[in-house]
Amino acid sequence: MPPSRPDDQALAELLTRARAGDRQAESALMEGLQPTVRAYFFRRVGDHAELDDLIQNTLVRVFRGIQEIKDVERVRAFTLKAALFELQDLYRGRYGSREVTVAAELAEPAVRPMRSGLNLDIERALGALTPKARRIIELKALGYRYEEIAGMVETTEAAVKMQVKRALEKLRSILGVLALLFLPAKSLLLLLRPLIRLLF
Amino acid sequence: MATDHPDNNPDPGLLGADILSHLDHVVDGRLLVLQGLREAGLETALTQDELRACTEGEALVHEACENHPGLAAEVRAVEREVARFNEVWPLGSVRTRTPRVERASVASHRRRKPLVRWPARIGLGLSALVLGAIIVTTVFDSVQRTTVSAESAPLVVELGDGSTVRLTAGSSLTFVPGSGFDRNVDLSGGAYFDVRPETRRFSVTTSTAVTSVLGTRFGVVELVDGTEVVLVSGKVAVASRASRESVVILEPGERTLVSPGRAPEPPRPVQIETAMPWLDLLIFRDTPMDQVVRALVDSRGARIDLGAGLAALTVSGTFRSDQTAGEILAILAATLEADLERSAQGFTLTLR
Repeated sequence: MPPSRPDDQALAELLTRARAGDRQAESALMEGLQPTVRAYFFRRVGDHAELDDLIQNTLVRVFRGIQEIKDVERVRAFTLKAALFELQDLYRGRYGSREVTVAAELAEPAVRPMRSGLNLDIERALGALTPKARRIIELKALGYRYEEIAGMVETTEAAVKMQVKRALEKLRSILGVLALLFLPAKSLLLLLRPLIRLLF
Repeated sequence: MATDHPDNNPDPGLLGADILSHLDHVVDGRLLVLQGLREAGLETALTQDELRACTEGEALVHEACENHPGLAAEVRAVEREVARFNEVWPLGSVRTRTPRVERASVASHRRRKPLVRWPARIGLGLSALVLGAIIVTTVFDSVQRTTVSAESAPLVVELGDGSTVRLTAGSSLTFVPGSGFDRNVDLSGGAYFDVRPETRRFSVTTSTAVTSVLGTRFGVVELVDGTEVVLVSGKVAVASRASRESVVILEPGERTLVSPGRAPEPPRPVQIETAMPWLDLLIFRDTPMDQVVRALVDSRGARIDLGAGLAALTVSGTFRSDQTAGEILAILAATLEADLERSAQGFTLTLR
């Protein structure tokens, strides 16, 4: 059973008033949740540059869904869900690249060459890895830290780093062959950029 | 992501971004979080819409997790996050009295970056949203739907949500462009859809049918006798425009036909490789290599010999009609870890 807050009764009263549109109750509720959300994110990502944004966006999410929060238990659950959504965005690199994302969303629909070839290549290349290596490389791509991945696959951090290195080499080898054969020049340059940097 | 972590060496870099993009394309990350919350016993965290999306997307998430162990691990990780959150939950405190203005003012001096005046901030934000919605709705009602037509050659259109549509020659697609895309399109002709998974439903309306999905790959074509829908992966619901109550659910490798004014035909299994002859794509879905070779021989006229142990291996993939047999075989050889030999007589694939 999850721990219960010492003042659930007060929380319930605030929730009722906030759902009825009481602005002061909303304010009190959000400010009351803030220390908990801050503590959670601080434990997860430390004194991160985006810490305040993570907290603020989480609380905005909670507020937007307040009509769906019908009891005190749901306050905890909805706050956790909102925090997880924000954490996922952070891990997947959507905080630092927010301007890019917005620009892309505003763009007109583009008529472009089909990318299914590249997706197929990645799918096939991933398929060439062992299940364990694949899990590790996918978790790394999803933004998890080596330490976290090590905990998730029950191995050491050093072993994870080694697996990531080997998997990347293998993927680059497979994709490199495919890129040389089929990818357009721009994609080819992107793939070769790390090598060019190393050489020059 | 990558720059957030100090221990990011070796850097997956561009390749990592490509893998992330691919995984995002396989399934909406939000669905993974919601599924994780359900599995952790926190179904109360989900709204009715989210619950519905979870139920409808269950097969998709299951398939994604089976094929991608990293995604499966992300779902399982939610349980640990629940425990972490519960550890800090009692730390917060809620004031029982309404905050007084002078107390809030004093508090704001103490904070490094205050998060106060929530009602004002959120009120302004919601007002802006409502105003934006009014403007957007007004504009959409009048001018914003766009029609794109493929004249004499296939055309690939990228929609505002990242989904792609490959229109066959002579077909047209009508939709709301850019960030206002509402995941509703009207199709005249034929098209192959690669829908980006999201919790919002994606709908394709033709003269006789409405096809609804969350994220999947499928083909829709208007024929003389109605609209045919063929599903490659995921799950779709197909309804008649005349009566939305008659719905059939397609599984991968099934097709249905919706004739004018009639309910959709019951789903019928088809061979994906040959089910969409109107499409200039070669699609394989867990197809044994000997069938792949037969398709290449039929469509490309190439001679291909398969080495021992290859015939029973299965592959999935989508290839364009302008890719030669040699190009396709080279991709398959690389992924199957086989050797490809070319000679004047044709191609030979052998396992390494």
